[in-house]
Amino acid sequence: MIKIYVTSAKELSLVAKQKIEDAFSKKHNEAPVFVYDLDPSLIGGVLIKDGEKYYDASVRGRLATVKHELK
Amino acid sequence: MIAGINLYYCILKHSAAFPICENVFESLGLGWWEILFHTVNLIILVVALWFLLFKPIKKMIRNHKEKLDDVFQKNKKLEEETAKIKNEYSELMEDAKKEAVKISLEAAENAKRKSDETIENANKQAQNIIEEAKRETRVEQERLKSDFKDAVGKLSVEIAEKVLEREVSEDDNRDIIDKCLKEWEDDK
Repeated sequence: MIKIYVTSAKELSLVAKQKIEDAFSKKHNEAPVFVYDLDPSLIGGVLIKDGEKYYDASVRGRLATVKHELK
Repeated sequence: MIAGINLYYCILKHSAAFPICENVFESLGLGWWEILFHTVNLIILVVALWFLLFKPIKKMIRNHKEKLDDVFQKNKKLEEETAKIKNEYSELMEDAKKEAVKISLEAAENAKRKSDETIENANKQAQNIIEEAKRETRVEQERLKSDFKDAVGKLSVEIAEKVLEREVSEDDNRDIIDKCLKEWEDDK
């Protein structure tokens, strides 16, 4: 059973959830199970963990990238 | 010798002085044979003195003279040797003086060369120290710049975080998610 963890800063709407599930279901042969979680420290966007891969669409992640590039 | 005396008597007898001599001898009470006897005695005495006294004395004097000559010769030789040694000593002294002067000059040259080397090394070291100090200053400047940049970046991000925490709306959230989903779909 494939589990995909979705962490968001704010509660996702059903539309948003559907979009995420549609996008990530295409990547696998079998239907994955989505686990949703909240983390306000992300500030905005989502952080998705699919197996070993991370998909960082959070504001916090972007700010971290900027911080890294400023170094 | 007797023949010589006889010859002398004959000459005297036939000479002009003979009669005068005869008179003188007669007045003194001397006969011819006595004169002859005394003359022979005298001759014998002279001959004996010659052989017994004169010749040894002469030989002694000659030996003494030879010894003196020998001593003079040795003395002369010693003087010559002394003069030679004196000359050699003078030459040695001259050579020693020259050598001493040469050694002094060499020592002075060495000292000057070492002094120049020391000064050159000191200058090089000073240059190296200056270069090192400049390099360290540059490194420190770069480090400070980097630290400053980091601090500014960190502060900017923190400020942005604070601002975004208040400002990210639902619509913004949705737009972020849609944009990322599109990117991930394209990366497939």
